[in-house]
Amino acid sequence: MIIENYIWPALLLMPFIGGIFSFVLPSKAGIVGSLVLLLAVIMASYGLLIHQNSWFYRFAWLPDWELGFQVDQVSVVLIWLVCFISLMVHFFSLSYMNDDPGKGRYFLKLGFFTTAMLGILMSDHLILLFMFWELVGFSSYLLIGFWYQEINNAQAARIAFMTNRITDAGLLAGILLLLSAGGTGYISSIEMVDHPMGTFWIGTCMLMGILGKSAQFPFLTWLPQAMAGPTPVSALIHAATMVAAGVYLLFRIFVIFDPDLMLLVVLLGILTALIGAIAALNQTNLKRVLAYSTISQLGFMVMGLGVGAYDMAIFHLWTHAFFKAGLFLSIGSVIHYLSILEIGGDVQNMRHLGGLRKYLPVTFWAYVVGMLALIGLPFFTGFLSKEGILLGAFRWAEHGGHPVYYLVPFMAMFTTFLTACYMGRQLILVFLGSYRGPGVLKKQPFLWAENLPIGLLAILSLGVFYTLNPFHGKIPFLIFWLGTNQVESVNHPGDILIFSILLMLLGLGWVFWRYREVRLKKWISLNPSSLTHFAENAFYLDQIYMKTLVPAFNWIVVQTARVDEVLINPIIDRFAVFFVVLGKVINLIDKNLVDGGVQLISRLTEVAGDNLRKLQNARVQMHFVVALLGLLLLLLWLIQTS
Amino acid sequence: MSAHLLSLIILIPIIGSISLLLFKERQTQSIKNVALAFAILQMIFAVWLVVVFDVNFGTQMTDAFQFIEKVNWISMDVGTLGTFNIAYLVGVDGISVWLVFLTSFIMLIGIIASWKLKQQVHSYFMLYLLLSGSIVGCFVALDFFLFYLFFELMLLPMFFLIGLWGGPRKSYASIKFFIYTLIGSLLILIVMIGLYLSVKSPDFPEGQIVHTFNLIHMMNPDNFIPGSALAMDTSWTLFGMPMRWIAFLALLLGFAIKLPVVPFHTWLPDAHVEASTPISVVLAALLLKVGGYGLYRVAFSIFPEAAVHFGTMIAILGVISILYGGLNAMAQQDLKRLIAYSSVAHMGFVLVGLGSLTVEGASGGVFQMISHGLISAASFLIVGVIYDRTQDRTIENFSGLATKLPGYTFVVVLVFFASLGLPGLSGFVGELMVLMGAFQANGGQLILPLWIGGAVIVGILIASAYYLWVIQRMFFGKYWVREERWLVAMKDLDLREWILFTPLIVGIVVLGLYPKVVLDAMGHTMQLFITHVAYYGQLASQP
Repeated sequence: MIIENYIWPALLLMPFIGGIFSFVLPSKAGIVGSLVLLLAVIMASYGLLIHQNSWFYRFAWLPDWELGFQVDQVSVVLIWLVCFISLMVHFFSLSYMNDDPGKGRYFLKLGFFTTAMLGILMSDHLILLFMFWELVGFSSYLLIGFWYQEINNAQAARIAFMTNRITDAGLLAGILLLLSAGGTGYISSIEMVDHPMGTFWIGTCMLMGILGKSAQFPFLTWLPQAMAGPTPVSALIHAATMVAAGVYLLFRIFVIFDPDLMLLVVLLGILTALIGAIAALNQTNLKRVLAYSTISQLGFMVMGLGVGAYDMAIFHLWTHAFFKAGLFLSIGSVIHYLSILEIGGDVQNMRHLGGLRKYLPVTFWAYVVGMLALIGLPFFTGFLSKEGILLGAFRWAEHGGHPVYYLVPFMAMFTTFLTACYMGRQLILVFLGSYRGPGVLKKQPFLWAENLPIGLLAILSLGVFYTLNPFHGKIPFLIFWLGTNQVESVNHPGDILIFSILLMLLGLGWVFWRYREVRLKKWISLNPSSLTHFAENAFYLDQIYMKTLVPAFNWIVVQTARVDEVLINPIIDRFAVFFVVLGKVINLIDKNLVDGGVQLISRLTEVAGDNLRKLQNARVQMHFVVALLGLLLLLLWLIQTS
Repeated sequence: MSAHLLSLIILIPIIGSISLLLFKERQTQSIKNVALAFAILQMIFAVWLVVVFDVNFGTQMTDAFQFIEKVNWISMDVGTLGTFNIAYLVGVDGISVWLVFLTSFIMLIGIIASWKLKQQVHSYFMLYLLLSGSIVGCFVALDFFLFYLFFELMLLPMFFLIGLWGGPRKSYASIKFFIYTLIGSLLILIVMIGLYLSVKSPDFPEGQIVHTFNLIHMMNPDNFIPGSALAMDTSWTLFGMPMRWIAFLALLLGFAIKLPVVPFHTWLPDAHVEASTPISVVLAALLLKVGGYGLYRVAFSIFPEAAVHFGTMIAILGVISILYGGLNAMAQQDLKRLIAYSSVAHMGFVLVGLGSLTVEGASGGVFQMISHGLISAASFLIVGVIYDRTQDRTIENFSGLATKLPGYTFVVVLVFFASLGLPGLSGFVGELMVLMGAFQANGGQLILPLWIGGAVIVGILIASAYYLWVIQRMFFGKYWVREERWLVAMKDLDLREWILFTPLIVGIVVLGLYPKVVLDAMGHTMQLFITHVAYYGQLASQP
């Protein structure tokens, strides 16, 4: 349909243009951005409804090099998702960022991010995808460091961008190797290539980019630090969309991965899921719990792709975006509520919170819904997608041929148990019990701009929108939009289903017992053990990098910087000294000749010599001429004799 | 009129330089106005040149030149040696046309950047305009002698512009600059004489030997006198290598000093640190490009088989420059030195691109020259902004400037991210194309070993590391400057500075989003160039 030629490019650019308007008109900043995003969601919905065939657009970017856009069934769904979450976040930010002097700048960056993210989803050519991929990293850098006056925020932004940049380098190398091996750069027709280096390396390099963007082991340390940005940004970028880009790319290109690499993907995914969950369980910072939870859930998706349940992985990406954005915005409204009260102290420290359900009822209930969805209990979206991945993992282990493969699904099961634990823990520490922090809490006016998106995201985390039978996995939505046939395989075998639900309930129960009111009092004043520290810092990964890689790099820098001073410059300086000495010698000869020569000529030469000596540099030029003449003579002689 | 376009572009600034003689030393404002007028006039003609330039002109390397002007200049019978023949021969192809455009653009920017100059304004602008003419001359000369003449003529004003209007160690820097370039020039001179003696002009009847400096004739191996020192079938050797290889290496070294390539780069940081802002801009944006252009126009085109033979070595030199320059930049305390070292790293890409001997890589290398022309000009102007206000540019003396100078910070972030290769800005395109060349992304046979491409990618990472570090230290955090008296001077960009930055930023963004503007012309010429090199390269390797 011809209208698609206009819809998609317009959709791509609109958020950025809206951002520019926000920047130019700071007083209307968020309103313009939100309206543009609303229009974008309407357009995306229209695209979703009319979408029949894939839309392609190719253009020559370099001579003899075409790049291309495409929108197919998968992109169209995710485009809608990005527009919708971005709209929610824009709307939420209207209230959250209302008093910030940099409001215009904020919405500009938010719009720029949305455009870059849509670009990733619309790119057909890997090079084009890479460009948007980098721009997404760049906008994330700008937004993490949004409050740049605090040097820690700037530091976090730099580390996030640098980690992304390093892993992106791997992605770029992988893309170039793929092209070099004669493979196609178009995602829509990507296929395995024969390469002397082996497809293993192409895949490994590209996997590096995926692991970096989706904060997977061993590149997961930047995401918790990225929480330095404004909370709505964390919701949009570091929970729902940007970090999911890695999973999206993996979904697109896993066909070129060979089996060994797929095994690596599975292992890294499950390892990350586990590390993230353990770390989340031991956080005291409000946002970091959710950050590690995001890492863990992304690990789940990556593992899901690795075991072949790729439709379920993408479905989990979709459901996760809603409830995680909802959870982050809930936490955002908690932070905003406390900072309006100006009670001082660290409002993000969960030790000093509690009892907030009375003051923020909508937030509380939205949080509960998001929590249940994240844990993956029936009647919520998380259940549908997570069970699919779990079952996929079991099926994969079944075909693995060795009992050791069953470790993966059981570790996944264990992760869901931990998920229930850390989410229940946060619920208790933030919303239940009584308030433990400084100051007195007061009711605040109801903020529509915050509560509407939170509520909407919570409602969309209810499973009823996807299937009427909460235990039946035949999800019409998926079949219709993702065009996948794999879905029917999710006919839940009862025992696994019941076992996992029991584990989740057990986790919740344990955590309610662990943090009951009496023990909570003691726990708050307790000094954490070294084991807790170990878990809280995600196994000290970040500290290890900071203590090994960074000093090693600095050592190389210092040593290289010395080469110029110690090695190269002395040679040049000696060369200069040689010239001066040579000049002096010639000067001597000159003087002696003058003494023995005719008086008149000597007089003239002396005057000229005196004048010339004043021009220090003329001496060098003189030698140049002398050398030139000598050379000419030499060459003439050579020619003559030959 | 367009027949003499190139001569006009060369002559306008030189006439301007001479016409400044009519003014007295104290008429500083009129001198500036006149210089500006001539620069604008030159710019107009350069735009015209680009507009009327035919993108798809020519079918092979030797007939792809447009706007050719030829006047016999010196013709002298020297007995048994034949006829001494020097011509004023100028013309442009798809590469040089953009370098000419870049030159007039940057020279115009440089004049605006010199607007506040107070001492010796008269001689400064005379030298400046002379420099402008000689750089353009260098880019359009198609006669080796003429090229060399402009090449040397360029050094003279540059030497004084650094040595007279520079910082505290200006004489050390200018002498160092001179010694380095002198050695380079000498090597080029030797090869030039050797080539002159080996090449005969095909414009004269058979049997009559007329030597020529014509670069186009030199590109065709058939024009070499059989048995002469630099003919394809030469039996002359030195250190066990054919004479042609030696000549190629001499040219390579000569131009490598100019580019500069590690380890011949140490003049650059010193020259930059001592030079005033506009001179740094010209030095980085234009003079370095002469080195890259010389490699393309002279070394590679005339000795294609040597280029093929040494291609990998050249790429390795490029990689060393990228890594070494980047690591050194990381260690600098002085913002200007940091940018100077980053220039060394960026010029490494030119070498890798040329060494890859692919259309993508070589176009990428030349594109990188244009893009670096804009980015380095903007970078040195950025240093100039802070130096004008405080007479200081030590990185650790500033912090949190973003709070006080938001407009300036915007420019810095954009330019630095362009320099570290953010997609959508011009730096990325050059780097990507060079990498495409290094990896043979068009699916051709791999020439360079794969680790070269890998090392180039690492070099890009180092660039990100130091630029991000600088941005964090100088612009983020709490607002603070070391000296209290600087607080008064800390104002955001004024109108003149915005006039300087805006066209550069527009250029950086346009080239980043739509590189075909430049690459259409460049790609065609590069296609011919690579075909030329590959053809004669293969011819020579056959026994």
